[in-house]
Amino acid sequence: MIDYSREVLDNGLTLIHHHDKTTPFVIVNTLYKVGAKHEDEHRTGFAHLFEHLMFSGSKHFADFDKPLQEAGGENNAFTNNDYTNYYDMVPAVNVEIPMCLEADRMVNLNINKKSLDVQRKVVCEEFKENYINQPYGNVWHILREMVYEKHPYRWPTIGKELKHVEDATLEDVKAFYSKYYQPSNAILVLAGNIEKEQASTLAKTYFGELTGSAVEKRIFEEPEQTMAKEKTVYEDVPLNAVYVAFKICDRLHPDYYASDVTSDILSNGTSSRLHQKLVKEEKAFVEIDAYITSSDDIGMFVVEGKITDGIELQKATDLIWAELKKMQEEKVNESELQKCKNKMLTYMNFSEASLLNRAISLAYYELLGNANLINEEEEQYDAVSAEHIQQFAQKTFTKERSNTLFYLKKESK
Amino acid sequence: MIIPQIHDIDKITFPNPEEIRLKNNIPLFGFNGTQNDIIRLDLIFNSGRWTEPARLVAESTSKLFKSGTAALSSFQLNEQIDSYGSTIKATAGYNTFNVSLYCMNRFLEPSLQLLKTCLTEITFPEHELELLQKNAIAKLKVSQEKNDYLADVAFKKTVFGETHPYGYETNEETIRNITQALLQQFYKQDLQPNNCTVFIAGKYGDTELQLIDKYLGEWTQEQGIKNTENNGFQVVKSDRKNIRITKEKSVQASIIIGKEFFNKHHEDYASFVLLNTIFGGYFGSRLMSNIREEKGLTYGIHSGLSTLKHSGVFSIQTDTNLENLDVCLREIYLEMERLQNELIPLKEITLARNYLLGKFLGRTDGPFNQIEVFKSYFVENLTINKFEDFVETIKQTDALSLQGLAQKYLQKDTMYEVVAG
Repeated sequence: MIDYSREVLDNGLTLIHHHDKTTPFVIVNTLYKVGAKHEDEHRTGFAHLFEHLMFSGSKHFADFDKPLQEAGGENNAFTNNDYTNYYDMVPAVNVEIPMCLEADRMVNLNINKKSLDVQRKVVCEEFKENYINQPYGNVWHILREMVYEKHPYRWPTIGKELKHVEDATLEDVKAFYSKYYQPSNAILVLAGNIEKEQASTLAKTYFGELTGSAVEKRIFEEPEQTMAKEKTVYEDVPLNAVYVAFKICDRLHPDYYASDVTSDILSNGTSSRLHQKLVKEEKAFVEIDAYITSSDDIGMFVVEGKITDGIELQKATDLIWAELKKMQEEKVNESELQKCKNKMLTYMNFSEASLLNRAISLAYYELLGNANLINEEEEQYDAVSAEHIQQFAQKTFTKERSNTLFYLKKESK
Repeated sequence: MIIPQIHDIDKITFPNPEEIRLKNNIPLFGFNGTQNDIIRLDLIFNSGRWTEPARLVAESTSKLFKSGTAALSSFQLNEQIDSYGSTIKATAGYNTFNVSLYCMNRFLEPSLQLLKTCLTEITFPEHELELLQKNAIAKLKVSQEKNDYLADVAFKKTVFGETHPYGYETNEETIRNITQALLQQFYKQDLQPNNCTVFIAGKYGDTELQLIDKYLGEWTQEQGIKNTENNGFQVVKSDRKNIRITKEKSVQASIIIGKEFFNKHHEDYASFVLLNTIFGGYFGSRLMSNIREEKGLTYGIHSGLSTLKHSGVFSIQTDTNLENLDVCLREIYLEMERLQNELIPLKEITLARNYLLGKFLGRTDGPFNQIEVFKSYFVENLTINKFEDFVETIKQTDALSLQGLAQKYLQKDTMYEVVAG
């Protein structure tokens, strides 16, 4: 059980406090409800580029990192399709340092040409390092565009193409900032060795006076898929790979937990079905994995595998489908289900040992609309039944809802 | 708005572990006190690449650590472990063989029983080995498409030589040469109680310790086996200082610059950690400020010291656009020279020192951090008292001694330079 308290300041900023007196640290975690899905289709990669610019200094503090490091602290940030998250970890005595830095950059960020010029280049190097200069590096660019028809999940966080990042102007960036970086669009978590009263007082002192405007919550639509899609690309890769993807429910849908457990039955651990059957018995795959993307809106269920040399693509794909069919035709037995639940429970328990994980999870669950999911999820997973898994498989794993990407080596062309 | 006063971090103390002996004399060190009922158990054997009978035997043993017994197939064994939600994982290091168990307390007993099975009954079935070899070769091909992998392999080979355990390269031939007999020999020779130390972290009491003693304390030593440590390895450094690996169609190159270095036993260790922090060890470092934040030449650049039982490595690593390669290299060497020629301003030292002290404080935070640090000292034959000594040294190192260290250790002509891309 993770204790926390929640409070909304007058300007709309949500504060969550979680006390852990066993640690010498406090974590100041700020989540902004803006991610790649809020971008314009012709100007993608902005949310992530913007995350880099948040370290450019603000009106009252020329540098963000230095005061924090001098306070013995450390910080980092990440952006995904749904949100952007910044965290600072400091020794408890210095908690006010990240508080004033975060508050100032929430409304007074110093956006200037020099830092934009540099960070544009840095992000382009990041793009090349992770998405161009890597075997299979562009697979998510291809797969997302294939699976989603309308939803902005069509592009990855790094951006659709390098050019979008290269073309970002100061005006674009300023407009993005004033639209999304608002107290009412943020969730502040104070976790660690800090009392509730102090957390509340400090939040009011540093953030309470910030003013801003409301941010409109956008609803994104995505039509049901009714026809199978298939695509083949040839690249400089040493092994053929296949990706089979299906659109699934959103994060708060009752099917979400069933979908996660289904992916675990298929591929979590050496004794899981896909690994045992396809890698070990059939020797058709070098490695194979099944997972869900856990996005806020319509998610993806993906099976991906690197195919053993000499195995026909058709055979490899048929083998995957045979396992998916089996999930539809036969109920998983209780012991296999319990195995997956035990693995999930162990994972959750170990993950909770980290204060940073607890802080980020609280912010994320609050974004979903219920911070207490941090305490409820264990039960949600435990409640998943064999029937529910079968129903989920039946409605999800159909040919007409499938997206198959063959990512093949050039020589096989 | 002005910045609130920054407070110095109070004294950093590392807690002493609980230390007991199992019935068969295996030492056990423990850090207790997580909130959740979970246990992480680590067994460290004095072993690894250093003692293996042929190349890749230690690593392959670790990968086939749950590959089946006379009574249980690999699937059956793994299914039993998975059924408790537990994880048993083996990894081979340069000087150690490590076995870890992660589990919830209520499943500790069956998990320990399975751990014992993995430690004593694995037969390394031929068909499991064959599949491992086949898939390892396929995965190797994927790695060899990555510039950073190619650079890392070439760098280690250059610094330690192709025959040294710290330097040898994995290739198809070494993978093919592994045999069942070699794995069985290594397993029997190295995974013995008198060669083992146990570490526990999580939430535990007498019940848990008694269970551990029941399963690991009653593990009997095989007669007639002596653990020998081969110290006859010769480091053979390359004559060439510059290694260039060309990979067609790369848009970026991976760079590693560095050399063989000392480990934690050296008197300059702690002060050098501070120097490295300033040079390239954190986000505010000179390499990062100049090459990323000022010039935008890379997504990231880092320097670091990794210590090994019998040696160490100092290296600078980055990836950059091919057209910026020369300017990137030039700036790296320029930053080395600046540290030798100019005194570091006090403000910059204070900043890096405080940051580093925050990191050291983090290493004392909670049983899982504590056990990691404790093990890293243990495998280098150091007691944990050294931790607090290092903290004191870092507090006292001044600009003059940092300059002295830069002159002693950061000379360009002592460095190897590897570029892949």
